[in-house]
Amino acid sequence: MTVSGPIGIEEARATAALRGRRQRRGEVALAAALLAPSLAVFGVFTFYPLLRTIWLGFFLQDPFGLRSRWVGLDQYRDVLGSADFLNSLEVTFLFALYTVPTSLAAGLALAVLADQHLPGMRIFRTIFASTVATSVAVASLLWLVLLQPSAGLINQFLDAIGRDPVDLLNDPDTALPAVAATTVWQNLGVVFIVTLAAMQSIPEVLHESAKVDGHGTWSRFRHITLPMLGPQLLFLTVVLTINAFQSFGQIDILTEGGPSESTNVLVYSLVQTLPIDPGRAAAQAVVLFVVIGVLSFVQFKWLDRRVHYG
Amino acid sequence: MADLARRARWRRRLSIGARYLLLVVVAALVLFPIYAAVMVSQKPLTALGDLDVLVPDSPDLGGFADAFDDSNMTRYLLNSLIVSVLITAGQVVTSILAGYAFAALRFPAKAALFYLFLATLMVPGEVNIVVNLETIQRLGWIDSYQALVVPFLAFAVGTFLLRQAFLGIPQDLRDAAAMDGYGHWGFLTRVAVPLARPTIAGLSVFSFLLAWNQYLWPLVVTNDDDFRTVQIGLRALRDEAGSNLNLLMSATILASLPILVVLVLFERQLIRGLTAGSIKG
Amino acid sequence: MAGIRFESVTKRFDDVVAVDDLTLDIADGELLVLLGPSGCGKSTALRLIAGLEAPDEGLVLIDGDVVNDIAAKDRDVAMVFQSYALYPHMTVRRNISFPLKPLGVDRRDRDQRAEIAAAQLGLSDLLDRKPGQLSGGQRQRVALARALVRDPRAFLMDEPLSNLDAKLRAETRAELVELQRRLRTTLVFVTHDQVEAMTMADRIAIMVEGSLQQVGTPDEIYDRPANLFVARFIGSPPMNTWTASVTRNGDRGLAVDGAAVAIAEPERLAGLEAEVVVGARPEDTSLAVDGIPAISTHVESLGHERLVTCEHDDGRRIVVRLEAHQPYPVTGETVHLALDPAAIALFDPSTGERLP
Repeated sequence: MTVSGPIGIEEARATAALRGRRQRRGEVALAAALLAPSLAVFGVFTFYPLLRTIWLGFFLQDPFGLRSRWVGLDQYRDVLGSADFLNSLEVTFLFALYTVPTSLAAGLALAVLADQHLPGMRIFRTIFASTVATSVAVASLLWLVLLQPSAGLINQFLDAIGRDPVDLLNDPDTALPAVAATTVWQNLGVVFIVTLAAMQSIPEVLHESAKVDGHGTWSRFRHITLPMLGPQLLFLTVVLTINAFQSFGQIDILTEGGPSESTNVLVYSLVQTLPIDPGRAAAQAVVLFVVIGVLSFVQFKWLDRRVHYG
Repeated sequence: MADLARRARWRRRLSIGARYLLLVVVAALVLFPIYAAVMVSQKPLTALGDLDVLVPDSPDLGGFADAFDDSNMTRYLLNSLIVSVLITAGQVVTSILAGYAFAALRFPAKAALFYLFLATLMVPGEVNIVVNLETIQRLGWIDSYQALVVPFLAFAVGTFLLRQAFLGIPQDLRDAAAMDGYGHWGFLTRVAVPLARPTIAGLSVFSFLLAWNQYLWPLVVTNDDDFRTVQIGLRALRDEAGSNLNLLMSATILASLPILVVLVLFERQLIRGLTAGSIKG
Repeated sequence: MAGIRFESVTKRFDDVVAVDDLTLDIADGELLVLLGPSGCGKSTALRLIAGLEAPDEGLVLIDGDVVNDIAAKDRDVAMVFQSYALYPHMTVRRNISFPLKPLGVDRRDRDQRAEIAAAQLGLSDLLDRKPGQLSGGQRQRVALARALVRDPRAFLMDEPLSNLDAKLRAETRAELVELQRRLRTTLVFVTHDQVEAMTMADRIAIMVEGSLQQVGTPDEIYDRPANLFVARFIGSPPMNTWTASVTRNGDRGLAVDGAAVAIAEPERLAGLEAEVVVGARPEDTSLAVDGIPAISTHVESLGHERLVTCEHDDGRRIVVRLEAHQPYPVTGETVHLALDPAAIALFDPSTGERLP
């Protein structure tokens, strides 16, 4: 059992150390190979564009898009000061305000309803979750059956009871709430699925002990269920807000930003600007990024303090 | 006593009945837009003020036939299917690879790289659309499947989920595989991936859903009908069909059918995929 | 077939020294048991042979070749884990044949060899089941079959019996020894259970806190423990020890608590200073008319023998092993202990090392 072969112990020690390093290098090489596809895609389509978008915002495009001129922060200042942009910002904020709390409350209500032990509950759960399967185009078009002015069911109904028809999507006062309604409906599924899953992971014994202590249904919901859902509700609030700030499809299909710019949200406005003035679109995109970032951060900080992590 | 017991039993039955009634009413409300769309897709509208359209009748699939005839519906559906399947497969593969690297390998700057991956979730695609469109134009990829697929071939959520799944595999199994003669690659393909199947299924359903429902990106990188996905096809149809809701709803329902099938078949996996992301905020 | 050698091997995890300057030869075909309390570094030593850990210093050799830089998968040794580490998604057949694939064995031969290995361990009826459908004992056998199937240079086993119930453990112990004798493949077996070590080992290596205390046959370790730790770790109940003073009335002698203790070869005491630790196994300690005084506190009958626990004034406990037919004291009775003069062990009171 002594060392045999051509090398002595000292040499073996040296080569062992060397090859040990080589083996670790092999692991690094493997990691690089495994990460390369993802890093390439993220690099080209996430990080590079983010930096270049900021850069492009410093350039003013001439009307024919042939030459561009460095204008520094002027363009950002211009975008931030323009009435169009401020309108879009306000519309988007309103849209988030209409959709986020409503979606949360409605989806949570569905989850409470479905969190009972009754035969056939699976069917109801599938129905409540079903809107998660709709795309923004599908959800918007489904609602067009109700909202369409000449053949939509709302006007069919109004006509049947002898009232004047309405055009909700064409009235600056009602267009945004109408679009928001389609979005709330589309959000129901996600909120329902996430909150129901969280509710079902609350240990039954908590409810039982509260029951024994004389707490009623509402009190148990208020003091047990709701606090235990904190992390999920925080997550949903942030995600739904980000979604609201990214909304485009429902506007594109239902109102095209009108009437009188009353539904011209940030992304819709950005996409309109894009072919005409990429530099300005870039500046708008950067502002959008900052707004979403700040909003997520603030929500996270503000709500996180109120969330109990079980 | 017997009287009390009977009364309690009645009360319970009444309460169960009320609960079912509430469930049915709420379910009807949630489903109403879908129900109305299905009904409208079944029969052409006759006269204004005619709510008969909401009463089920013998099914008439004329609207669906029109949808296929009047538009490129088949092409759109096929495109969506191709694009969604490619994106799903690609995301699953890249997520498995990257997730394994983060779970099982030691390499420099690992934590920083992981945060870099997660940081991609902070950058909405809408923000990058200006430059990404430029990139696609420069590559000459406008109106191509590459344009619809390649930008989505990496997915931080998928990487995160797979990393968690791989971290959950006992170290003993990794060691046993090493003793049995398998390196990282052998362990990954023969042990880790089969054991992560539930996570992979959840991710697949989630990815497919997101890919199928994409709207803005396919809109800006395609002009040619041959490459448009069904979502963009619906948008075009909305402009063409005008007030022909019968046709429009038939097309809308067609566009949702594949997703509906996925949802019904893989509800459990989808729920896993959706909820995994929200655990602990 | 292979001998294994540790040469001045040290392995640290952060600040903890798991294996401290270990030098140990394991002969080809030997069944060596690495024994020690939990956390003593025995599993780390095993994993160093396996290639699952790399030494910080020193060399590990298999068959005379330095394997420090050879990956686990290329070392051609097989391991049985405490948790068995069966692949839950594979059938028993695939679990067993799994190590053959990287060797390039074709599918038919793989299946055939898996079936032979399974038959050796009585698993033939379970080939198409998955690990989740097996009992603990069956799983353990699958893990063994997986180790056997490719005829490795050495078997490494990390507490493979600890998850079995007592009866099954005793049976499997005997089967393992028989199997190893038949195959004559080197087996390194890690356990914290001294009964396993005593009954199975050709030689036992005892480790404490990363360092090797003693290597020897079970009899050597039992009869001539290298230090106080080994003396107290091996044997159940462990060896009794007393601090004795070395007396010099003419020839040197020993005295414990004022009572003289006879020793067969008094020349062993030559050169000793004032104190020495005296050890005697419970079976070498007996009750006498005259001897070290103590109070009997507890008597346990095990059927074929009795264990009498006695306490000294200072609270130290001593156990005396009596044959079943021998008279025994009642609780509370004052007794006198005598040691077999030929079986006395001596230890250095400061280092704990055995004295000749």
